[in-house]
Parts: sequence; C-alpha cells; structure tokens
Amino acid sequence: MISCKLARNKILKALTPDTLTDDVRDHLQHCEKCEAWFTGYLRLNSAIQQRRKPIVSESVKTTFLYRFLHLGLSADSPIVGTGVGTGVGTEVGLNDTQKIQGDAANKHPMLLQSSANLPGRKQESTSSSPSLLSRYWPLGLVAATILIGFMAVMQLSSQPGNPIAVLPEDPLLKRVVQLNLELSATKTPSERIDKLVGLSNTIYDEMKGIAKVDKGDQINKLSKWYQRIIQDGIVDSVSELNELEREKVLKPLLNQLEQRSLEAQQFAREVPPQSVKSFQNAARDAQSVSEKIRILKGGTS
Amino acid sequence: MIHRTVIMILLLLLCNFLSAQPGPLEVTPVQRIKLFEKNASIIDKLLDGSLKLAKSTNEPLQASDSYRQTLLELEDQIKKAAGHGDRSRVRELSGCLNNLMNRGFLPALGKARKRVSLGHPDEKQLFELRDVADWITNDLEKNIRDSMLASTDEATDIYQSLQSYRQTLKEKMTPGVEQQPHH
Repeated sequence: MISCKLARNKILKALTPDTLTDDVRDHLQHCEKCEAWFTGYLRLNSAIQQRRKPIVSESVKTTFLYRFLHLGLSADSPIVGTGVGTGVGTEVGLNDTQKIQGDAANKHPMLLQSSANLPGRKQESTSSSPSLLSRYWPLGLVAATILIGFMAVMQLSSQPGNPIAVLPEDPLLKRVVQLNLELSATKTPSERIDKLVGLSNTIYDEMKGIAKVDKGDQINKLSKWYQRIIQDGIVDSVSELNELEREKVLKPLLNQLEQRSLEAQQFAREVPPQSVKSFQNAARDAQSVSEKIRILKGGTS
Repeated sequence: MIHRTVIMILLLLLCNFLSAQPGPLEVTPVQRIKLFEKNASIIDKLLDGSLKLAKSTNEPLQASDSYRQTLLELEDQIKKAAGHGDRSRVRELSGCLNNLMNRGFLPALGKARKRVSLGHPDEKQLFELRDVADWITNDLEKNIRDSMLASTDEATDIYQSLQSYRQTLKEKMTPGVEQQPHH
C-alpha cells in the first residue's frame, strides 16, 4: 500500500475523483485520516467550483498568487488590485476564495504545498515573482504619457509661429559676422575679393536652403543682398587689383561666377514658383558681373 | 500582453521620432525662415558695413565707422530680447556684439586714434564714434539692469563685457606720444 503522502499527492494531481488510480482508491479504503482529508478536499473542490470566477486583471491575479505562495497571505488579507475589474465585487469574491483556501491550508498544509504544482496552475506559479512589467505597468503608463507629451511639445515647437518654439543659434548671422571680421583683417584687394566671394556664397547657400519653404519675400531679399555683394563689393575690389593679382584672381573668379549663373538658372527650373524670380535674378547678376569683370580684365577670356 | 504591445509601439514611435529630428548643428528650412525674420535687420546692416569695410580696410577711421549701424542695431535687438526675457537670444546677440567690438570696431578705432592727429578735422568723427560706443555701453547696461534678466548669468557676462569695452575705449582713445597737434 502506498504512503499517505503519496496518495494525497496523487489525489491532488488527479484533480477529479473519477481519475483516481486503483492504488489511491485502495489507500483511501484502508486509511481513515486520508479518507477524511479526501472528503474535505472534495468539499473544498466543490465549493471552489461553485464560486463565481472573479473578473480580475492579470496583475491582481499575479499579486494574489505571489502573496499566497511567498508572503504567507492570511485569510483576511484583502487583495487590492489596480487593473481592470477590481472593485467591491471582485474583492469580496477573492476574499471568499481565500478563506476557503486558507482554511484548507491550515488544516492540510500539504494542500498548500501541492497546489502550486497542479498542472492547471503551473503557468501562474512557476515564476518566483511577478514580472517587473506586470508589477510596475502603471509607472510605465505614466512614463508613456510623459513621453507622448514630450513628443507633442517637440512637434509643436518645430512649427512656425508657435510661441513655445525655441530656435537654435542662427548660422547665417554667425557666418556673416565671421566673414566681416575676416574682411577687416585683409590687407590686399585679392584677400578682400576672397572674403566677399565667401559672403556671396553664404547668401546664395541661404537662398537654396529656404527656396522650397519660403513664400518669396525672404528669398527676394537674399537675392538683392547677393546682387549688392557681387556688384558693389567684388567689382569695386577687382578694379583695385594690380596686374599680378589680376592674373591670379580673375580666372577662378570668372569661372565661379559663370558656374553660379548656370547653377542658379538650373535651380530656377526646380524651385517653387515664388522663388523662381530670385534665382533668375541671381543668375542674371552673376552673368552681368562676370561680363563687367571681363571688361575690366581687358576683354580677354 | 497588451501593455507589452503598447510599450513596443511607443518605443517604435520614439525611434521614428528621434531619427526624424535634425542633429544639434542642423537647422531646418522652417527654422531658417524664422531666424531670417528675426535677424534680417542685423544681417542687412552687417552686409552694408562689410561693403563699406571692403572699401576702407586701410582707412581705420572709415573701417570703424562701418560698424556704427551694425552695433546700434545689435544693441537694440539685445535690449528687445532682454525685455522679452529671451536668454538664448541675448546670449547669441551679445556674443556677436562682443566679437564685433573686440575684433572689429575697437581695434579699428584704436588705429584711427593713432592716425588722426590732435585737432585734425577727422577728430570730430573719431569722437563721434567714441560717443556712439559710450552710448551703446551705457544704454545697454541700463536696459539689461532694468530687464527681467538683470541677475542672470547672461546679464553678468554682458556687464563684464561692457566694462571691458569701457576700459579698452579709454586706453585706445587716450592720445599717445605719436599724436601731434594738427596745424
């Protein structure tokens, strides 16, 4: 005959009285204590079956099992959940179930020990503690809300005309200041031409940078600045060059202006209608200045 | 299961959002437009000044005069930014003012002082420029002290810079032994 412990374990594993093995049945017939235990088990099982299954969230169930298995949950301990389905009805249902299980566990400690190994409950009881995600998901929800808020603020701040927009430092202003200071340190006309060409390139690059989003006003202003720099600044400085400097400076300058004229013409075909005129003007101005410089150079190409 | 999926979706959204952001040195075209709107008047004066400067790099009095309008415009914009409590703009523009004063205007004014002899007709323009610099430093200090930024780090930096301009101006505008009276 099998031992009491083995018989009770087999009963717990069998789950229903119908599936009890012969050796267990044989044991129950000969052991009064186990027979009484089995009767209690059946009553308990029946009581559990009759209870309405509480609707609880995963976190409540996990917390309950964790406390039940590891923290010595008492029969009167309320289970307070934070998930869907927690409330008065749920709490009452849980407490009733706890009481039944608590009583049974007090009378038959092995039930408590063995219940953790029941196949139907294996998934819930195998983990030593609830996962962090399950326990701290409300914190995750708060973090997600903050994240969404942050993303919304960032999105809003990138839109023009928004008062909360924080603009970065202006690279155009910084570059123009820098070129002005470099210009102040120049000694010769060729050095000045070099800095003025840098200034004109900076302005032209800005035109390209805003061409697709500007409504036309600003790009128009930029094209006028470009015109002033190359017509007033570069042409005047070219006239101050001596023969030696002319040979060295004018050829690359003419190439650059002609290249710029072609590029601006090409750009004028690609940009939105409101920016076309500005690029056409820049192309025309670059061409016109290169012709003036050719004349100053002495008509040679 | 549901909250894991939600967290995964949020992480994907975050990755997508971050990858779409410009780098720290990049300025979007929309931001460029905004910056242009704010700084066009300063850049306009700077370009005018640069064209004047290109014609007068060897004439220090004219070179220092080429900064006059830009410095006045910058001072005005810093005052406005301080009035609005815009610390980042105050910091940016006072950095520009600092550069133009210390590396452009004041050295040119110092050279001009050395070139213009005492009593020369050009001295009037020289004193005018000194008075402009004095006015800028005093007016800017008064306005910053009256603004909501009066006790910020930006304001402290500006006070120090202004004090430094005054000192430099005093040193450079004091006639040296090479200045002979004009006859």
